[in-house]
Amino acid sequence: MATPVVHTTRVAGDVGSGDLALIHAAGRGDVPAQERLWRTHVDAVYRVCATQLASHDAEDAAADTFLAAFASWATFDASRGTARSWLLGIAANQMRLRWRRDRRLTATLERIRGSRSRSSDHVPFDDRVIARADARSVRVALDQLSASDRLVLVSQAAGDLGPDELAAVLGCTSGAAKVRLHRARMRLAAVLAPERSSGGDSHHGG
Amino acid sequence: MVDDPQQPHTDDVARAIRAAIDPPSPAATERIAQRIAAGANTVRAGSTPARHRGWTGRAALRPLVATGVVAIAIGIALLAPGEDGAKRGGGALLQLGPDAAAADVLHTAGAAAGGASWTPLKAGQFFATRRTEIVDDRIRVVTRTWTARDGSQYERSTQSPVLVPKGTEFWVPVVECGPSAVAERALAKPGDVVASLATAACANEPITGGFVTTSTTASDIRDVPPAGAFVELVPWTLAVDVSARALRYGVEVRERAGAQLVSPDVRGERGVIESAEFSTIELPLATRWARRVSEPEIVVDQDVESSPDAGPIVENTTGPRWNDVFTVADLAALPTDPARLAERLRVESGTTTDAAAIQLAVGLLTEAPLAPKVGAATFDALALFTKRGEAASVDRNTTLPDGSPAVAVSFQLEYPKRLEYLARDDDAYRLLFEPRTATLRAVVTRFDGEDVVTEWAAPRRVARIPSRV
Repeated sequence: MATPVVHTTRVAGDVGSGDLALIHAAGRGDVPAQERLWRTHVDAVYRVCATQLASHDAEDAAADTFLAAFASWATFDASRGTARSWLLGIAANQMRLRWRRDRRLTATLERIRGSRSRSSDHVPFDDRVIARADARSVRVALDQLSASDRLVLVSQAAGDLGPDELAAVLGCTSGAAKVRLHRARMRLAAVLAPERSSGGDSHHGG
Repeated sequence: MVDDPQQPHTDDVARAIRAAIDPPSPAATERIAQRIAAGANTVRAGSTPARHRGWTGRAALRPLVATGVVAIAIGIALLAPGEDGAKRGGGALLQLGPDAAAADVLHTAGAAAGGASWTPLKAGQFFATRRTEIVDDRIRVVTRTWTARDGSQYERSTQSPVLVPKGTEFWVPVVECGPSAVAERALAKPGDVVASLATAACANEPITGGFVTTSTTASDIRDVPPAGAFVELVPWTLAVDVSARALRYGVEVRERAGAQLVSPDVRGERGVIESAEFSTIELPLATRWARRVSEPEIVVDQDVESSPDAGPIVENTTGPRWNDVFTVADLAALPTDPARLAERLRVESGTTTDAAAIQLAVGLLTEAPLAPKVGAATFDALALFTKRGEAASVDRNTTLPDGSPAVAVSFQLEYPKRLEYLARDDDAYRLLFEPRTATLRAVVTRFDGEDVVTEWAAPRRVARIPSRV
């Protein structure tokens, strides 16, 4: 078992061990380590929660994410990802737990809203539509996507994750993570540029 | 400050998304800090580390593995066919007195369900279910297939690519190549929606191979077909009486040796079919068919509807979980004692309330491959919940979607806190039973003032997958 010494300075080639030590220390109740851990990552974790939940629920879920992390520090495996992807994975599970409880209702809600856009894997799309959109439009568009798409998009963006890290968050292979990110971005772009999705306004009457 | 531990993967899209979401305000951060501080004390005081097994706790928290279709909120019943029930039931619900409570109706339904014949899903067999959903003036057909083979489980869900306006005549043949295509065709009967396409190359598709779907209209078979291919078209005529919510299928089945398919230009998420805009597409060739052998574990977007060109077949060693909760093995092992089942449902629903367990129970009855004794216990568990105080009412003067008489048991929908603002007093599940057989025939989910009617034409079906397609 690693000695829980807190090292927070990281150099190249020492990617995982700083995280490992910090997480172990936090898990063993080292309050400064806990605070360092959550203050470093609270923005990303909160962003993921905030796009799935009402704001006060998001705060709770963000806090619960860190508490779950402190309680399950032994599961952190530095060879499989970073503290950030590990924490976002726990946050994703917090969201999944809530989806599971709400699944039937939200399913009905989303179906009735008819907000989903349906497209193929291989359709080219212009992601500059997203990059050029103003923040408000992007926020509104995110809310029109499925919870799953939001999770993929926001986890990746909030954590600035590469494919391997995103895969660790989502619990799938790197290839699957890429596919899911691509599809989610495609759907986001379609919402932001409805003329591209053709067939008129697909969100009317919701 | 901890440095970013990896080479950043910065791109403009991620930046735009990040910019769209506010970080926590200082006040929110303070509240999070307080909650962490309070919770961390508890963690230190009591719980063991590694409460979550595995990376990110996924093993303990049970990930969504469904192939999913988030829209599959309610589905096919795998209950006994009506005829079987008729033999035993003899006017089951009608024999109950006029003041019968919901629990009486549910117990009777349980007794009827428990006597059904049942063949458990075995390796090499698949389980096909089809259901229709009626939402307002639109209809969606969902096909769901479960298979088990070589120690793995496969689940496939497809949906009709559009919500079809009621009253429209529309053909939705689904062209597919897959391990179960022939067997599914053998099961198909007039009125079913699935048609199959197979070429010689299709025989070489592995079990994990993908399948191709497309759609066409009945009048669009043209040209000489390519050798070795055949197309079976099932004309699907919707004759819908909006007021009665009745849905009828056409009965004609035609088969030709291949075809060039012409697809209607079907667009729109809200079921808008733009007429007279046809374009020619090529018959799918085997070389274009997706093969996912290299990544058989991929779970295609968890909550994304199948689309005609992205229908998922999911293989996962842990098995697809029905409604994110149970594997096929779990379903087979569910308790047949109502009290134990009720407790299990309560625990699995993730809350402490019976209301959440009711949602799970209704889902089981409408979607899951259940052994008859488990189905019976599920009805009895629902009855137990009503006895423990969950409000349920009986309506003896209602009708099934086809207009025939029905007895309904209604449960109020309970909302999670964050959706409470959506709640309306009349939101409810309504279970519609055929009175003579006490068979569950449809579920109506009333949500936000809109009824989602789920009914199923086909009872449980089990067939052997042929060794070669």
